[in-house]
Amino acid sequence: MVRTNSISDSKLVKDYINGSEASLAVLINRHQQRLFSFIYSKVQDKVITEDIFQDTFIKVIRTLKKGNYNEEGKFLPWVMRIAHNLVIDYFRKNNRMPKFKNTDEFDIFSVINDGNLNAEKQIIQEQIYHDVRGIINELPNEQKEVLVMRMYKDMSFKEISENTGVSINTALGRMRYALINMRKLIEKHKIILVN
Amino acid sequence: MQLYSKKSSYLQMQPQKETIQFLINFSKSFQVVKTKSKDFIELNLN
Repeated sequence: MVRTNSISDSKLVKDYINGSEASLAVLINRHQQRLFSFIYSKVQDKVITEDIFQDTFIKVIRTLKKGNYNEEGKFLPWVMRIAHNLVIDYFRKNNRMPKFKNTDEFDIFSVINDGNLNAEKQIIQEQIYHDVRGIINELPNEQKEVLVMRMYKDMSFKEISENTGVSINTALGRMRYALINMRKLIEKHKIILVN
Repeated sequence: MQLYSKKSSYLQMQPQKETIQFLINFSKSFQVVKTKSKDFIELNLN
């Protein structure tokens, strides 16, 4: 009997595409904990995590059965990317549909800032964001990718490593060089990043 | 700046068994048919 542990993801994917339904069960069981934890770390809600986990694998099943999967990347990073995109979709939808309701204890206006109150500060803030985006765009792609995942998507280096297919140390190194290069660019362009 | 954030207990979290079973059943009932015009038709044979 072949131990399922010893079968690679790539082989399981091929077997599944060729009709072995059991291979899908092995893939799901193998990666469920990692994927579920990854989604939960972003949305912090078990029910929503369950939904996104399910939608992720439905997308995986559809793509594999349509023969649209290419073996360029590894299976897990590909699945993580799908989950990541679904998490972003969830946040986008959620932002469009605010769920706050005013009660005696909670008033929504107590947590919403009126950005128009200080127009000057707002303009400076926008200029800073613009400058930072400009600096980030000048970074080499691999450094930019790590920096965006860490600073804008709040991913841990473990998650970055899984998503980009490089080791944690490489991801840490890229982040370090990204920051060094950003400092150099700030000096070079004489940019002031203080409001 | 914090360079490495340790993840806590939720690293051990898992989906419900029902979710896994749903996915396995979904996969079994889901079929894709390629038409002559190379379009795909998705069939859910539940």
